[in-house]
Amino acid sequence: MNIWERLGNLDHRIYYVILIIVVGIPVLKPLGLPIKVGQPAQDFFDTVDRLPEGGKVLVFINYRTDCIVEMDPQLICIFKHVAQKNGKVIMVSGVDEGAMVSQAVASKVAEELELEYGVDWINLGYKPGGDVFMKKMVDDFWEACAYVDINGQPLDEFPIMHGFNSLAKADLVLNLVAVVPSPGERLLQMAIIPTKVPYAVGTTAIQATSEMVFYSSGQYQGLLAGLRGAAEYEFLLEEPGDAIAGMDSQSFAHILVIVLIVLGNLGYFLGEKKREG
Amino acid sequence: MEQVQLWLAAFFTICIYSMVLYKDNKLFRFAEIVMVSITAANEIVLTFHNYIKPAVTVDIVRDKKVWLLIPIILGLFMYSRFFRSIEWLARFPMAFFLGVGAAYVLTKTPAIFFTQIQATFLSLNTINNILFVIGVITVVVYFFFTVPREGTFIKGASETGRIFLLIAFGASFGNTVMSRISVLLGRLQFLLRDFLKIA
Repeated sequence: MNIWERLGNLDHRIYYVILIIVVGIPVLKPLGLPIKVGQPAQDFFDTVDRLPEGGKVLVFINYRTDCIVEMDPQLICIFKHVAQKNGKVIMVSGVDEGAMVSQAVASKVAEELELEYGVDWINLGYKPGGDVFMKKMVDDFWEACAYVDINGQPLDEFPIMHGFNSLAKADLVLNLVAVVPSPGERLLQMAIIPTKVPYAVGTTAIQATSEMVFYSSGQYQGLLAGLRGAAEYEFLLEEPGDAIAGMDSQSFAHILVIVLIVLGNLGYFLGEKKREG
Repeated sequence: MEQVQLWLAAFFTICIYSMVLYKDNKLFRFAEIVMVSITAANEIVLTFHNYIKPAVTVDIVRDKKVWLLIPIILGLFMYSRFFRSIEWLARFPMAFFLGVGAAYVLTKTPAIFFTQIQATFLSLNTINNILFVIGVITVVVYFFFTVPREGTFIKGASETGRIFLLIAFGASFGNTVMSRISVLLGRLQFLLRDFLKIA
């Protein structure tokens, strides 16, 4: 058995252990590899940056706990960026876990930025209904949200909600998407095209290729793709956080995957040659 | 309380990873079942307390919008499938969903689709634009099944389309790797930084 055959028959758990070591080392000792900002993230940043002073941003949370590593840094950046513009954040979730996941992140960042709940930001919690809910947000936002926030408090108690009776009243809509079928596309259909509100999307790397077509066609005004997108956003905001720290691990893991693909292909072709010989 | 939360999260993380680092085992199964059950229960409770209850209290009880009882009754019909004698009632909400769904797709999808077609009408003044247009045309030819793939042009365009598709799948695979690594990274950050506090 030559080296290529041995590599081909290696226990897959060894690869997992190598991967864990490769990803873990930069967590223990970050290297600070350079980051280059791509056009989609730059456009996302510019879209939020165009928010008028004191403008209201509707952030649609469509991710669960499995994607918090990629999506939470995006949400944190949005909060920080909107706060810089003295804007207001209205969060609503289209997936069950999204409400609690976003609440944990938002409470922490709001405390850090000294933002007042109900005045500077609000979380309306999980609202079921999918497409119907999205359409209803345009017709009657309060009714769509069943008149309560995440804690069951009536919306009229919160100054941020006064006058906000339609999605069309938002100065910007951001959609953090990590489920399929894509709520990014569905919100576009149901609410964004009819109201023409500026719209940008943040998503996971795995979903980036399917969301990219909407960005390329100009239907999304910006796109954050995964942890990389979040790292670019942190870089543009000059607020380094978890995303930038995580990019070292990403880079190392990618090098490992490339090496393994090359070795796998070499093994396959050299093994084939031997078989033919 | 925070300590209990940390220990529980660490325990379930290790349970789940025991599947790939060891083999299928009872701890993994336990963590999997707990995860599925909590997710299901969470959705039911949230939907009731954050949506159904306040909507009924305000719309039907306070504002007397009694016509809203119609969708509630239609929704309840869905559960008639559990009773053989009245299972036919479930056809009404299904018919409603299909009708509304089809109409919505037919009216809403073209707006997105035509914008995307329009976005492919690019001036051929940059390499990116030329590649983009060639990619769109050749991939469409690849999926054009009504004409046999014969002749230099159709065959060549179809093969080129296949190459573009393979490149797209490669990009998609790269992104998938990136997402999966992120999940692992998140758990390692939690274990090393928040739980063990060594990072």
